[in-house]
Amino acid sequence: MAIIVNLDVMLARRKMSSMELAERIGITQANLSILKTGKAKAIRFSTLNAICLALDCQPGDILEFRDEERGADNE
Amino acid sequence: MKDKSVVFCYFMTYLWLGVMAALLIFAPRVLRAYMQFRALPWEVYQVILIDFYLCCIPAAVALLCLLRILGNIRQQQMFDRVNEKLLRVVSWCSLAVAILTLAGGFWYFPLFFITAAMLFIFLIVRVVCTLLAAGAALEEESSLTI
Repeated sequence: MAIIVNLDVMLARRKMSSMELAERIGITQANLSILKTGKAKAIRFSTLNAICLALDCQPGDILEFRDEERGADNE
Repeated sequence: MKDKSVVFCYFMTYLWLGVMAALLIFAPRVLRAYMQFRALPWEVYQVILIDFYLCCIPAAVALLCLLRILGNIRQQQMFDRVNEKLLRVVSWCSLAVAILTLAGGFWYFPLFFITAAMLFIFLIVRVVCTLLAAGAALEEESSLTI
């Protein structure tokens, strides 16, 4: 998928563990893992809101768009 | 209400398995009585008997698939890829019976009615399969929405 989840980077920047973030935003570690590994199909605004609040960041810090098709063409 | 429906389906599936098992043993006798009643030739008896025994294979497979689907429904796994695959097997089984009865129909005409019924069932099951596939995709998306 062209949308990349940079949750790991933000967690490292904030020096926060996945467990702590899961507890703070009220989702299970399994669901957080799905989100981190990019297996998620969609993210609720409420979840995004909670993540931004917990990590004190913007949605753009967590989500990134990479045009894989054009990237492949350029290569 | 849902539980009652599942229990009813279980009962019906086991009943059909029982009927099939009984017919596997008593089919020659039942068929011989029918032949005498309708005054049909010996050739037809053999064709119907062979057709019946051959049809028992896909029928048993379909019934076992239905039992597995019912088991999955009991475990709250309704819109599941496994159920979709099992239902697809059921549809192929009904098509197999349709083909077998179509072949037998050339010796005993009323078998064509079973062919028509089985083709209709095949169509219905395929539609339900497509519906289940769409449901499974929705369920998958819903479970992967965080």
